[in-house]
Amino acid sequence: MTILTTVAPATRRIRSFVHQMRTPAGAIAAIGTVLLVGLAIFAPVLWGAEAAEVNVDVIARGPSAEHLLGTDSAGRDILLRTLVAARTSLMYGMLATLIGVTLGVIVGCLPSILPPWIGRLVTAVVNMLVAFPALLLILFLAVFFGQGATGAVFALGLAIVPNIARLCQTMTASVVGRDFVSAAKVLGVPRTAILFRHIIPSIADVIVVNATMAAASSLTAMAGLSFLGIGLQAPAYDWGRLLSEGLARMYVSPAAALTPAIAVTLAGIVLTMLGDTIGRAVGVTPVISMRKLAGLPTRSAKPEPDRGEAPHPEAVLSVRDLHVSFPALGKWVTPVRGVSFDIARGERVGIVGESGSGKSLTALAVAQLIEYPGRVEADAIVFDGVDYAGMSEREVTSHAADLGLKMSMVFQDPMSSLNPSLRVGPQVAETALLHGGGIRTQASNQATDRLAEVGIQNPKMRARQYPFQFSGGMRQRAMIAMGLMGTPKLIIADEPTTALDATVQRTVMQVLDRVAVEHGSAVMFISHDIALVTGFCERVLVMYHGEIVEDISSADLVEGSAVHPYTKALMASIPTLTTDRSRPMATVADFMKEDKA
Amino acid sequence: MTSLEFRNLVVDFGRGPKTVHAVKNVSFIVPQGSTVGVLGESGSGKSTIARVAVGLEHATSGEILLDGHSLLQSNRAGRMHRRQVQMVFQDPYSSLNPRMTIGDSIAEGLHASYRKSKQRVPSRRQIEAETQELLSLVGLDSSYAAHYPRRLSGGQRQRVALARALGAKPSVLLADEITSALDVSVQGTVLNLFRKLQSELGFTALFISHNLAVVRYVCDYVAVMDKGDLVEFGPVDEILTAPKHPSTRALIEAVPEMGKPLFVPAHRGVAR
Amino acid sequence: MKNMISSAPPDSPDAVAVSEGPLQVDVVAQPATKAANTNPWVSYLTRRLIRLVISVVVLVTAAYLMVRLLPGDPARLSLGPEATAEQIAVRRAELGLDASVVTQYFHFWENLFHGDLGKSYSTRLPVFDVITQRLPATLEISVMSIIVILLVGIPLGMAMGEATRGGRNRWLDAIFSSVTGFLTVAPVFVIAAISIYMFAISSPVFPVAGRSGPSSYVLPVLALSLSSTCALARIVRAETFNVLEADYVRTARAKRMRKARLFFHHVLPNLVTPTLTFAGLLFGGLIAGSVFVETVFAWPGMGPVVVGSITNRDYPLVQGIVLVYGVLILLINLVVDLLIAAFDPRSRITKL
Repeated sequence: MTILTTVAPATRRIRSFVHQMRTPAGAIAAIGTVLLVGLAIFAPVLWGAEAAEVNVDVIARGPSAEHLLGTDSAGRDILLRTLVAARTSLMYGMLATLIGVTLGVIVGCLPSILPPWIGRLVTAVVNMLVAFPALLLILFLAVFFGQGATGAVFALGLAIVPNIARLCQTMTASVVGRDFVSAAKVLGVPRTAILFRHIIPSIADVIVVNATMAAASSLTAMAGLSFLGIGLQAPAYDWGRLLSEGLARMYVSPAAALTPAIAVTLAGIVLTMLGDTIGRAVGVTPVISMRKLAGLPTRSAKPEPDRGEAPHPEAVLSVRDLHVSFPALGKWVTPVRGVSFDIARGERVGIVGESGSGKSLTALAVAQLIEYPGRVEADAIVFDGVDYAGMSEREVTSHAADLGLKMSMVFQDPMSSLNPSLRVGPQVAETALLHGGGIRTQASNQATDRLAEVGIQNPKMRARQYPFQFSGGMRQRAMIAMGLMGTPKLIIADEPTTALDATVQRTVMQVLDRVAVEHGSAVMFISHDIALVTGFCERVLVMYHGEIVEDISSADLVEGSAVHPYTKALMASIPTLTTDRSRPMATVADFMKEDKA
Repeated sequence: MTSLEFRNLVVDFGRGPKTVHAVKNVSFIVPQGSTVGVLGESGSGKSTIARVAVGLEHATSGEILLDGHSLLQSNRAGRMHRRQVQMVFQDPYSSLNPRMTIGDSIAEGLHASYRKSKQRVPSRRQIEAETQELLSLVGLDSSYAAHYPRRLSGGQRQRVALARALGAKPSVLLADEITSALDVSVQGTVLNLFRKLQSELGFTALFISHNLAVVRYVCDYVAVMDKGDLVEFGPVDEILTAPKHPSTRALIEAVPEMGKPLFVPAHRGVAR
Repeated sequence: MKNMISSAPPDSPDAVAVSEGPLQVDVVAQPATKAANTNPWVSYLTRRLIRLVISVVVLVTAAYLMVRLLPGDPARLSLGPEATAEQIAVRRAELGLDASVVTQYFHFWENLFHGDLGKSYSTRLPVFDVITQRLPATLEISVMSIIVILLVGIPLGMAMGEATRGGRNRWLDAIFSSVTGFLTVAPVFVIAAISIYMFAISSPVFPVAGRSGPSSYVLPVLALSLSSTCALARIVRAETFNVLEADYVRTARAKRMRKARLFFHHVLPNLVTPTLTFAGLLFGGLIAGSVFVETVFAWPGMGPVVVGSITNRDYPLVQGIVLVYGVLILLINLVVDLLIAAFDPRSRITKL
């Protein structure tokens, strides 16, 4: 069978590594590693004999021109001995890591090939061993192997096994749950092939990073065992032995102890930094280079948009030329560009658009919830008579009660938007407690009322429960109740029903509708579901690539009198219960093409 | 081609008092060459029946038959028949291995299906040619074979997932919410592709979705599931225009429809 | 009841919460009705204690097998190379080595209950006495270190998390990361050596060796706790970042509260579980650290005994140490689990 190459995009990798090497930490890690390896290879060859030379004339001297860091009890040069010891220290540490990581990966991957019950047994044993500290395992194993380098290396190696094995198991479990593994299973790809082609490449990065970290701790642990006299035995020596020899003469010549101590620490740090660097290069941490971020792009000096006029005096919300920018990979990206709109008192305005079109960011910017390092710029963000554009964090804080009571937010994912560690009642009540006088019982009574109002039965009992005891629909209702603690002039609802089933969505929408009517609140309703938006809102704003391309009444939109080609295309591409099945669906791509032609 | 039959299928998860009855005694037939839509809310068991059919979950009792042959046996015959049933998953961002090129992902499926069918595995060049063919079948340029998934949009990934499944030359294709993770503007292209492929290749299909309009557009029949029960089955127009079961009716009413207000607007003075 | 809330398969989170028709109320399992009969803590404790007992049995068996599986005759080993065959035979009978393995195993248990861990090969002293005499000194510095680690590590980590989130105060971030990074990696014996140099040689402030008076505790506790404190601070900072990025913190910010309240009321409770979990792991490491610290500072604790037991191949002593430390670790894990259960509502209600 031909071998399918599974190497990840090599060029991207190399570029990423090069990028990391240019960061200070990456550069130190790289240079340090080269130095360490170089020392381990060449130091014994260059200075091995000299370092072993006993000189009775200069026993235990302090630093001198001839012996930069002094001599030890046999008159041997401490600096040279420390340099030469790099090989033994590094070698035994690496050997232990190699043993530990190899066995750990094997043990960790076994459960995915073995029959399930044996796999579970292996997992259970590993979990048990992980709970025990490495020292006990080493102690245990040292009895088997006896004292000496071989025993210590094996003991250290085996002590790494449970951690690496467990890491492999959890990582494997997460990969196995992904659809591409299911797809391979369905296609009939054999288990071993799935392991080697899908699972191992997916977890390799994490294993490599952790193996490097394990190497750092093996190195120091090996030195530790030698330090205690149960690792390397004389006449062999490593940093641990040098340190223990030097410790006794600490008062006479501190360098004898401090030099190997610093050596082992530096080596450990270099390896840890190497692990960090590899992790960053292959992985997840976004790189924000602040130096390149000095200049925030100035807003394009394009001709004033149509609604470039002054903020609407009657509107509950009036936004002019809103920009939201974020730093990404050393550049500023501006996902919201020049958005202007008004929402009249009591009006319901929907914002629709694709994912990434900037609708949620617009809402967060309006609510003053964009956090550093994101930046908001606007000519005006007037909410209920107060212009928040350009306000400092402190100035916004001085309007906290206004915002807290008059603007309410209903966020997208009810599963993650409620604090899992706090009871629902106090979370709902909090706004009233903060801005409405602050009497606890009154606030909590009000919260119970509001929970009842959004259709949660037995609200007293429910208020004492935690969010995870609520279903998705109930959490979303609780979110709405939370927004009703004041008398909201504006409810900003960001995809409030996206995670919910249609029937639950319907009830949540009914709650929102009733609440808005009763309190006379305006609603800014963000959704990707145009049928839902047009059914609920009076007016619709269509966003496309960070701009509002269409501002149209729901009735006109449904009727088909949209002007912008994107809106037209979008409307045509939505299947309805009257779509002509004999013809292919119209797609946005078709429309955009026509428009260009 | 082939018909797919679910016969008294029961699927339970867990044991003892904690058992979750995901599928309770479901029976229906997907007639040869047709597309049956499965409608239902989350937790209705609609995805579970598909996952059981391809062997990703185990049935507690009952049968799934492909032209009368059981798909649930763990012997070689069962595996042989299961191979004819392929599945496309909901999340296009999770269904392609980010570390394999598009070409490799598709080729892997081709290899597996050749080996399973006891045919001689063709040469590398032949596999490459077949991969190209599959890519053009789903409307992607042959240059995509060398790309990694990260460069593809959700819609393009879903095309690749279709190509990979079709590489096994399935007689039945199970599509599990294949458009629900996509933006509306892309949904249409994937639906068009699905319909085109079915008319060209003639496979039998199970199309799982929670979207009424999509099911109506793609399917001939529809099965409505609610909390593990099959509550209604019939031609799509019949069910959607004149639902008999209350669950079906509730489901249909709940879905917002373009041009209709969601509900009679609430009025001031509703009792608190 | 707990299962309906927490462990339904992914396909059906809302399975029990679907409502039909307008404004019908979701039906979710009503907790605290059935469970009221049996206190959830009782059943949780029972299960947790059963697990503890199983772990102890496994530990004891492993410790027993460790010595049994060794090559060589324990009787000969305990007498040394010059022993005569007769002496060995007598010792064999003494140690009960002539009985069957099963009998010996039960005998081992019986002895354990009497506090009999056998006699040290090297000193001929009862292992139990050696350990009870030495352990308190080790526990002293360990417990003090735990207190230092928690009292410094957690607040430091949280403060740094708040101060450096989202790329704020990059200089502070760099300083914190490098200093704690350095100290986390530096092995205990290195920190011990450097602290001797700094506080006893360069400027003799604290005594370097032995246990005499309060000031003699300073350096050992410092050396033992420094690395772990930094490690904990780093973990707490990372967890603080995670929590600050969570959706529910955004929800809280939308309520416009003071930063202090946001932090203590909304962020802090969510840091408890990860912090305690990690701290539990650190305490295991303290036992290893104490061996080094005691060696460097000539502290009259278990450290020298541990080292001696290995260099002398003193199997009964090693066995005793493994047993005592093993049980200690199991107890620490138990305490951590109970603390997490007490603080974290999710684990309290779903696991209990």
